[in-house]
Amino acid sequence: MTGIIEEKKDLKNYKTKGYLGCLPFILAFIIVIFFIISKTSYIDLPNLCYIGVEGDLIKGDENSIRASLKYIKNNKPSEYKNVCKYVDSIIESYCISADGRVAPLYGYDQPGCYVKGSKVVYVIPQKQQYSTVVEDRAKNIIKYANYSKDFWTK
Amino acid sequence: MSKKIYIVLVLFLGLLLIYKLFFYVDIQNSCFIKIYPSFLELSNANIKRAIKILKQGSIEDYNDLCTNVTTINPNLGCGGFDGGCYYQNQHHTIYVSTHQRDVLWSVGVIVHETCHVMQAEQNKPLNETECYTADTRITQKLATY
Repeated sequence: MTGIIEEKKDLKNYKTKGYLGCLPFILAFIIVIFFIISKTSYIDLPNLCYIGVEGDLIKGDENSIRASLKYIKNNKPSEYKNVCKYVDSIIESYCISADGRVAPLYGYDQPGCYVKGSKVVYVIPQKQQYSTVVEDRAKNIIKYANYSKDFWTK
Repeated sequence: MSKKIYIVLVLFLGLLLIYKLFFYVDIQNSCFIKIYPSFLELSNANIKRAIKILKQGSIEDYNDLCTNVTTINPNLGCGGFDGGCYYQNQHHTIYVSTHQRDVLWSVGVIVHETCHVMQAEQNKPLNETECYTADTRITQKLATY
């Protein structure tokens, strides 16, 4: 009888050790996923802020978009709340709103746009060559976040 | 017993995944659209996001899509990469291969191809100018500078 109880205890210990053995792999998996997500988005866990960032690899600079969001966080906290709430994606691309075959292309000369019906914001591709890029982007992101707020709260 | 639960769970998750990836369903507006699998974009996320934007941003165009289109094929069609296509022998099916492009462009392509389906439904000749005008109209309506 005692032997059976001990065997059961051994089995329980063995199973617990098995689960604990998986822990490093689970942690490594979580770290890898977090790394991938942080490279394709902007995450601010304490403020529960997640914004997808779709950068232009050739003409743009995703990092300056993340830097702009940090700039807003540090310098304009109330606007930052708006941005986190009303923007879920920032796309680094020209916001072209016409088919060139029937109308003149429009949007190339604009710093970006907000797409109605979404929480998507466009900013034009820019390399971080100028010191004002981060501030300019921050200004535009705030402007488009306000458009988004207007749309979703009207 | 635990094996049965495991099989049921796997089946359930599998069906849920198929539903999430390959169907757009909006019961309130009676909108059911199949989205075929494609190696170009496994998740079909871009197309689904474009449909949701259309719903929120232009309900008339959304209703036209729901009424006239039953299937979206994200594989390459006659429009090539980043384009769309409508074949008259595939009623109510449109090709939208815009996985590489941004979502506003995808909305424009969906409206453009829906315009062709409507032309075919009304027995009108397929007129590109009318449909280019439709995609220009929707992108100009949605983009706020």
